[in-house]
Amino acid sequence: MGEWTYLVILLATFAAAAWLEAWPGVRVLRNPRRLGVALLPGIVFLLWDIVVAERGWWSFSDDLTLGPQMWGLPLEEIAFFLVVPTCAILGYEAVSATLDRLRERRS
Amino acid sequence: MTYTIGAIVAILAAVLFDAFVTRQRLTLRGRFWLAYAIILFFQLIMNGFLTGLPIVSYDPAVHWGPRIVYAPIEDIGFGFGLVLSVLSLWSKTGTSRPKQ
Repeated sequence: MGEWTYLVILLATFAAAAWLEAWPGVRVLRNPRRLGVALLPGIVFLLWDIVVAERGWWSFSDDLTLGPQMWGLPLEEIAFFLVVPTCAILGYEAVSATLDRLRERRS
Repeated sequence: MTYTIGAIVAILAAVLFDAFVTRQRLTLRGRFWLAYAIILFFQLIMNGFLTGLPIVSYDPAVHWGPRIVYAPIEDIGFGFGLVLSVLSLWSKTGTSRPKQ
């Protein structure tokens, strides 16, 4: 997959969680404003990522990323902070909706 | 070890943010931990690819040493901080379901 590798991993991660949007009671992607607010803490982690990359504590493979960079990071690494928290919210909502439903059924 | 300290700070900051800023106290709720267990499983798979291929290479001098699925153990701390702070803010803005 070469240069597409990181992007493909991101898309696969997103696909692994995105189907949960169809889970009964889950509304995450259809609520973009609420999702956008919830993703804000990711900015702090992104800043940390930028500092760490600049100091050389980690580095990204040129062979496995597409090339375009921003703030010293591959664009894929910046997209990581949108994709991964979104997947986490989808998972949390599916668990939460399911637990609520089980509780209602029991009462 | 700086990277290690960063991971500890990330965990503590997220726990305090959840307890005192959003006041959701997700860390006291079973549904958070159940969801986190699932998220962690997928995080280990993704992180395994990122650090095993490797897309990301680490300077060994800055982390503690132990690795889980190729990634420095600190990455679990950073992942936890990111997931908890995002889920806590998400929970704060929700009105769709009554809180238990």
